[in-house]
Amino acid sequence: MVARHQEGVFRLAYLKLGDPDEAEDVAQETFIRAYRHLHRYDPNRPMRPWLLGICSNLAKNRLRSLSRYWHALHRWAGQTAEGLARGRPVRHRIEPAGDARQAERLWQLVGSLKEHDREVIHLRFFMELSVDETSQVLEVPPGTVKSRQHRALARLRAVLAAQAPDLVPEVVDD
Amino acid sequence: MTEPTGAFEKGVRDIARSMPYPETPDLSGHWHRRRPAQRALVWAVGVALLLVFVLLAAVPSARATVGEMIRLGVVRILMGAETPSATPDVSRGGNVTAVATQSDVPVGAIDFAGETTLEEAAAALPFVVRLPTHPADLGPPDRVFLQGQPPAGVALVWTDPKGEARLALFELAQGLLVSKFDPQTVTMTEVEGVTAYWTSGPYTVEVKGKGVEVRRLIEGHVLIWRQGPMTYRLETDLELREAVRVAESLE
Repeated sequence: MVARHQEGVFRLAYLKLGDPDEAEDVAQETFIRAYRHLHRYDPNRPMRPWLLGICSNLAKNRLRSLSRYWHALHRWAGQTAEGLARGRPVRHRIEPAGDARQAERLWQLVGSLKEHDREVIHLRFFMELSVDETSQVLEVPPGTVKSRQHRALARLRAVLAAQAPDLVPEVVDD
Repeated sequence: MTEPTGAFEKGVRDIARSMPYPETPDLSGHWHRRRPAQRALVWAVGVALLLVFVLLAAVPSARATVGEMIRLGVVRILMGAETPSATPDVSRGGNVTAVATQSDVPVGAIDFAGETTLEEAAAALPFVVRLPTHPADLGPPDRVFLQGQPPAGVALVWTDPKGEARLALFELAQGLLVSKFDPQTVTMTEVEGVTAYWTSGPYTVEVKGKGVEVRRLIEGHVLIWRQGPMTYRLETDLELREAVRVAESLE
């Protein structure tokens, strides 16, 4: 289960948290929670949305938690020593270029939206989940996903038009 | 303009596809090196769970609840449960159809009552019998056994030149109950994106239902998965990945 789904879970956690170390912690916690709550999983449904739902909730909780700031401070103070001590590699950021740079810019602008808008865009456009899969992750009907997506795109469009009109050319062409 | 956000939506999707994610860490390799504080929490939770289990296990009525850990369709996997002998309970008065005991080969000898042909089985069963198309040279099963009265399951067996089973596929509808007593290992996997379990012997498996009561010693591996109302078991000496390929090839 971990090998098959770790990439998707880690990526969603990263989209929501923006920090690879925190994303790794949340991804790991996701699988621990999944094992502990396996009895709640409906084996007739695909596992990916179920795991992403757990991941999404954990990431949300982490964002809301004051401990996030404590962790950030802790990491700032001892990142190198801690990273070496527990075998976790110290990450070096590689500046993206071209399409990747555009995508990262888009992700940052999506980050300025409200949580409801952010999560539907993360799931539908960055994670490329279907409407049905997204509805399972968010535990809302597919129709609600569509309406949320519609609203979120309208708000994103306004943000892009104001802050980055050249990023998605269609922002003015549609 | 029927879809006002159509082109914009596509543009967003095209850009988002190039998102530069950090390299995904190998999370499975991190399970044993969590942070000290997390490790302490895990230990505390583990000790607490152990205490709960010990207390519950001391109460006979609760023991069965503790033992029944996993259920998938008509199959239940009982961890730490008292293992019955691999001899059927004839005292129940049921129509004991078969017994197969320990064998030197992974799948083992399979010699049930209710042997029939594939055509007759298909006519008698309330569901469509599905056959694996992988490996390509597998062909139809060498032996076919109906399970239950009226039939609620079928065992399809492919044998080697010695007549020993090398692959056995059980297709089980509601009405049967398959119990696996304390397998050596239970691994979670997926068949067509849906949770499945891979168990390893030796352990005892028991099939009960109207007109059937079978207990066998499983020595090799069994892949268990569910599709709709049907539960499937694949007894095999194949590796897990190959077994999943067989499972996903049913037509």
